[in-house]
Amino acid sequence: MRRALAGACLAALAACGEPTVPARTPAYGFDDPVTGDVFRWPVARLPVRLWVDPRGALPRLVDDGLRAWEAMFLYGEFRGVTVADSVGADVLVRWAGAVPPDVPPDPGPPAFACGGVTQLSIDAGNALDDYVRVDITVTAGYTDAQVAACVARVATHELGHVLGILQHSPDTTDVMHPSPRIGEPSDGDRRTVEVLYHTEPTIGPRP
Amino acid sequence: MTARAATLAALLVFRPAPLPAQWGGYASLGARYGTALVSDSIVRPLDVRQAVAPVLALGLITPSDGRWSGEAALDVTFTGIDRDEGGAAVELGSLATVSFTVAVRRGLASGVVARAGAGALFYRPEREAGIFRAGTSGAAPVGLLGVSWAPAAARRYGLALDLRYDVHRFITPALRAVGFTDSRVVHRIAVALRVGIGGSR
Repeated sequence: MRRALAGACLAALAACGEPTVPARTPAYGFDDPVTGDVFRWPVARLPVRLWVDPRGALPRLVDDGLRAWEAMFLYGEFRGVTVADSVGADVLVRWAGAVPPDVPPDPGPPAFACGGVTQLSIDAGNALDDYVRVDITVTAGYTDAQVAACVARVATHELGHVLGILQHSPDTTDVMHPSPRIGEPSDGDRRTVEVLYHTEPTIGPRP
Repeated sequence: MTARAATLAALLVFRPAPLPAQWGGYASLGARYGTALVSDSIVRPLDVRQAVAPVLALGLITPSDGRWSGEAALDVTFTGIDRDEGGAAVELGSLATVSFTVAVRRGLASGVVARAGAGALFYRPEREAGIFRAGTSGAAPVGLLGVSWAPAAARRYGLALDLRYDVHRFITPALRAVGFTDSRVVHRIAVALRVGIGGSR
């Protein structure tokens, strides 16, 4: 009887076989819309090293953005760190122009009070030949609080490009929408970057 | 790590006086292998695997009626976990598993004791990230089968070789969040050297 009970317990635990693996489809494209090339940071280059302009709120915003993107991954696919010296960094993040004051962000509807550009320079061998460069700009005519809220969203958006998302999402609820309305990656962003980091890249990092 | 190893060694070397009324106990130290915690497929298949790792167990054994006795055991494993994808492994940190089980034991032959039981198993990740970014699912029911063998020459020193198999199901809130609806069966097997204390061993 006891033997039968023990066997029944083990059988109950082991029952039902393997779980169904959820389907993985990106919410939007991540490859270069012109060439179809794919870029992501290879495991051997992790953690990615970012030098961040120390002025204003940028170091904190970039750090928050990195943590938000890292949290999208289940299996340690991406890690990023900020470094104090730009020599040896993989990515440079800077203010292009005026540095806005570090004030609490406006909690109201999103105002598009800033902009951002991420540049990847690629050589003939399809490898990066320079730092990945991120420039954040402030648009005149908005309150400091609106600018602070915008810069937080745009920093996270540009970091999505740094990770290798080379397109924009058509969905306004994704942080990778060209005019981001949210400050953290969405489920659609997660699904996209997750597939990217298991896709073979065609663009390599700087040697 | 050195301090941990010293503690384990001390537990095996130190043998307290026998407990009264034929209650017994044991400490054991060995190695454990476990099957993959997660099998996923993102573009291509990948597994989250546990490394073969040290296992420490402490047990308390009830007085025997001649054939049957009971056992309660606490079992701890410290293991590394890797992502294995296309033959390439990426370290994902370390993990402790702690299980508490109760079992019935029966002597089968001279020096051979078998046991079967059940209990609860807990995961304690090194950091809340990746599959553990939203914590763990709490206690997982665990079932176990085990057999210990004490050759005549080893019995006088209270030594026995112990083989333990256990099975439980694994899932985390982070895995549920990405669409895993069922937990995965995880099988583990451990081989250990056991040192008996007191009456029943």
